[in-house]
Amino acid sequence: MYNLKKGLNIPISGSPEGTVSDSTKISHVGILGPDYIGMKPTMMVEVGDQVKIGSVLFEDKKNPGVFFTSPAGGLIKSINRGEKRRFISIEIEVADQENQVEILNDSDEILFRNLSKYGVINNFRTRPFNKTPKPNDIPNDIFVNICDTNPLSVDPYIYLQHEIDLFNRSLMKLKEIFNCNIHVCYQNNDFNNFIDGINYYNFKGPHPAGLSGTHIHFIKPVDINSKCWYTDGQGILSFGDFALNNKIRTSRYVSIGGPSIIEPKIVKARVGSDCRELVAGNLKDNSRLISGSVLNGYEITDSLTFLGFYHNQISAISDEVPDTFLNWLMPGSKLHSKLGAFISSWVKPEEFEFNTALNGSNRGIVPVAAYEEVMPLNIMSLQLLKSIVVKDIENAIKLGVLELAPEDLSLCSYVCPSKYDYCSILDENLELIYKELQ
Amino acid sequence: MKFLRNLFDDAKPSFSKGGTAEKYFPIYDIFENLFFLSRNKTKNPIHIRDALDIQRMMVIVWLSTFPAMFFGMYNIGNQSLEYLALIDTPNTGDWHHYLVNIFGYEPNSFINKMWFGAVYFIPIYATTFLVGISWEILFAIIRKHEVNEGFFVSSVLFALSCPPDLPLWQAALGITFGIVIGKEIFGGTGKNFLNPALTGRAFLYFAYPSDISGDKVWISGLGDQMIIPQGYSGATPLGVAAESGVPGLTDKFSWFDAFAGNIPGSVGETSIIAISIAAVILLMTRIASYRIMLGTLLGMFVTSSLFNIIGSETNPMFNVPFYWHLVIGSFAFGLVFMATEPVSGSGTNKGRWIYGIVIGVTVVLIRVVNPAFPEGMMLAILFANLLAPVIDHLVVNNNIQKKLKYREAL
Repeated sequence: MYNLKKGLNIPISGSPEGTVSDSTKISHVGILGPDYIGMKPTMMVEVGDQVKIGSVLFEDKKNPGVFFTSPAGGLIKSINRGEKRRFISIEIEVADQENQVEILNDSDEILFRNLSKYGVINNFRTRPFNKTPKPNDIPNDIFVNICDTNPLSVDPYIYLQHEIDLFNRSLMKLKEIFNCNIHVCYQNNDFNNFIDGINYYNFKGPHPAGLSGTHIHFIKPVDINSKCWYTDGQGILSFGDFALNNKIRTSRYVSIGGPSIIEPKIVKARVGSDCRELVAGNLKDNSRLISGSVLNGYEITDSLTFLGFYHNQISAISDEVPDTFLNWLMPGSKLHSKLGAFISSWVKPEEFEFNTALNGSNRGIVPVAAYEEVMPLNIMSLQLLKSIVVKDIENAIKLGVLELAPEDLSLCSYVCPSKYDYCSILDENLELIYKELQ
Repeated sequence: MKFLRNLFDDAKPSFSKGGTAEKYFPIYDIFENLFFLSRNKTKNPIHIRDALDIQRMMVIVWLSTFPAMFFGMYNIGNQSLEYLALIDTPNTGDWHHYLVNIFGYEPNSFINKMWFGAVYFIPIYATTFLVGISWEILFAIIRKHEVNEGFFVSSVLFALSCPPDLPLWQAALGITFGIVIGKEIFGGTGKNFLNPALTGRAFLYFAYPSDISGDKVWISGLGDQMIIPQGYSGATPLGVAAESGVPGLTDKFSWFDAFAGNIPGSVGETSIIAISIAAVILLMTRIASYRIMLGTLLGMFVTSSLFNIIGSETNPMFNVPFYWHLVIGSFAFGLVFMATEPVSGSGTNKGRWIYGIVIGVTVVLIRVVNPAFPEGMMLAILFANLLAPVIDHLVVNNNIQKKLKYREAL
C-alpha cells in the first residue's frame, strides 16, 4: 500500500455523490483534436456524410495506422478548425436509429490489428509523452487507474462495481493479447476483486495520489526507453466491450459537479457528449463549464463543446470575478490558499466557492515551500519547474520530466504565487523532446 | 470604492495597448494593483488558482517588519536623546535639528523619542523607496513588464539595516546598487542570485566604511557633535565585545537590554522581541523557510560553543556564548529577514538546512576570527547566497543519482 502524505485536496464545493443515473438524451456528440497530443488528422469524411458507430473518421498523419472512429451513428454536422487550420473537433448529429459497423474479432491476431483500425487503442496512452500508442507497439507494462483524486471527482469504483465482471474479463484478455505486466491501482477499501496474474496496489492520500503519473512513479518509473501504457477503468471497459463483445462502447460514466452546478450527480452519458446538453437546466448563470477537472480540463466554448475522450468529469465554477478591494490587506476568510497567508488557513471553512479569478498576475518565480508540499513524487519540483520554464530539456530529463503528464503539475500551477501555467509549459517541453528524438 | 474603480476604468484605455501613455502602463498598474486585485482570469487547463500572489506575499513580509521599524524609530530617539542630554546639547548638529526641535529634546518623553527617530528614519526610508521604485519602474517600462512587489521588501529591509545617521545620498546610492546590480541586471525579482537589500548594504559598507561602521554612527548626533563624555561610547555591543569580550559587554549592557533592543545599532536590528514577532508571522504564513532559520541557529550555536570550548586569551570574541551572539549585531535581523529571502537562498529542502548552517557557521567565524569586520551576518548571508547554487546542484545531483540507481535495481 502506498500512503502518500504530500499533496492537496482542494476543498471546492459541489461534489457529486450517490448513485449513477442515465443522462438525458444527447443529440450531438463530438471528437476533439486537443485530446490527442501531437495528432494531425487525415480526414476521411466530409460534412454531410452519414456515419455508423465505428465508422472511420480520420487517420493520424503522425501515427499512420491509427484510426479514429465515430462514437455515434448519424450525420457529420461540422468539422471545426482553429488558427492555421488546426483541427479542433468533429460534430456528429446523432440519428434516432443507430447502427454499428460490423466487427469480428475472431482471433487474437485480428483483434490486435482491429484495436488500431477501430481506434480502441486510443484508450491507452504511452508514458513518456502521453500520446496514443503506435500500431504494432507492445508495452512492457500497462497501468490501470481506478483511483480519482481530482477535485469534484468520484471514486471510479462506484460505477465500475456494476460492471466488475466485464472489467475483470477485460483485464485477462488484455493480459492475453499483450502478455505484459498489468498493474491495477485502486483507492476504494471495498475493492476486493483480485485476479491472478494481475498486480494490485492500493493508493491513499490527497491529490495527486490518484493520478497515473503518481502510480507509475512509485511502482515502475519510466525513462526514455520505457514501453509503458496507462489507462483508466473506463478505458478497460471500452477495450473489453470491443475485444469480448465486438462492440464499440458508446457510453461513459461522468460525474458532474462544482459550485455552479445546481444538482451534482453521476451520470452514464455518451462518449463525446455535448457538455451543454448534459448540464442543461442544471447550471447556474455566468458560469464556466469545464470538461475534465478544474485542475486539468478545458473550458467549453462554441467550438469545443464536447466531453473529452479521457475525461471522467464535468465541472462548473462561477465565471464572475468580483473586484477585491485592497486584496493585500484583507483577511481573506473565503479564499483558499495552501500556505498560511489568509485567515482561512486558520479558521477553516469546510468548502470554498471557487471562481475563475487568477488571483494575481504573472511574476518571476519566487520559490515558496508550496511547490514541494504538493509534490509527493521524488522529484526536485522547483528545479524541474524552472528548467521547463526555460526549456532546458536536457536538465529537465535528468530531473524526471519524462515521468510526467501535464496533470501531474497542475497542483504546482495551482499553488504558484507567480501564476505560471506549468501544465502547458510541460506540454511544450515534452513536444520539444519528442521532436528532438525523431 | 466605486468611485475609485471608475477612475481606474476611465484611465485604463490611455495606458493600454494603443493608448497615448501605453509605455507607462507599469505605473498605472502599480496604482491599480494597490487598490484592486487584477481581474485576470484563469485559462486552460487550470481553472482555479490559489489565492496567494506575489503582492500579498511581499506585503506580508513588509508588514512583518513594522514592529522592528517602529521600535527602531523609538530606539533611535531613546539612544540619541539620552546622549544629547548627557552632553547637555539640545542640538543634533545638522538639518535634523529643525525638525526635532518641533517637539523638543526632552529625553524622557515617549513622543519625543518617536518623533526624533521618525525624523531620522523616515527620510532614509523615503529616499530608499523613491529612488528604488524609480529604478523598478524604469526597468519595467524598458522590459515591458509589470513592477514586481518584491521591491517593497528590499527597500524596507535596506533602510532598516542602515545606521540612523546615514547621509541620504548614500541611501540613494546604496539602494541603486542593490536594485540595479543586485537584481535588475539579472532579470528582476525571482532571478537575482544575491539578496538585493544586502547587496546595497554591502556596497555602502565597503565604499563608505566611515559612515556605516565604527563607534560614531549609531547614535544620531554623535557624529556631528563629536563630544564623547567620560565613560561613554557609542559603540554597538558587537563592537564592545570585539574589544573587551563578555566582561566588557556585561559592563555596559545587560543581556535583556540587548534582547529588548535598548542598545545602539542599525535601525531595525536591535530588538529581538520585535524581530521575533516578524519571525512568528513569517513562519505561520509559511512564507519564510523554518529550515533556513533553524539551520542558521544550529550553525551559530555549534560554532560559537566550539569557540567557547577552545577558548583564547588574546581574542575575547572566543568566549562570547551563543546567547550573546543571538542578541547582538544583526544576527537576528539577518536570520529572520535576509537569510530567508527565498530567491537568493537555496531552493531545495535539504539545501535549505545546509544553506542555513553555512550562514550560522560563517557569521560566527567572521565575528570571532576575522580581525577586519566586527559584524559578520551581512557577509555570511552574501557568501551563502553565492554558495546556494552549488548546494542545490549537489542536492539535485544526489537525487538524480539515487533515482538512477533505484531504476537500475528494478
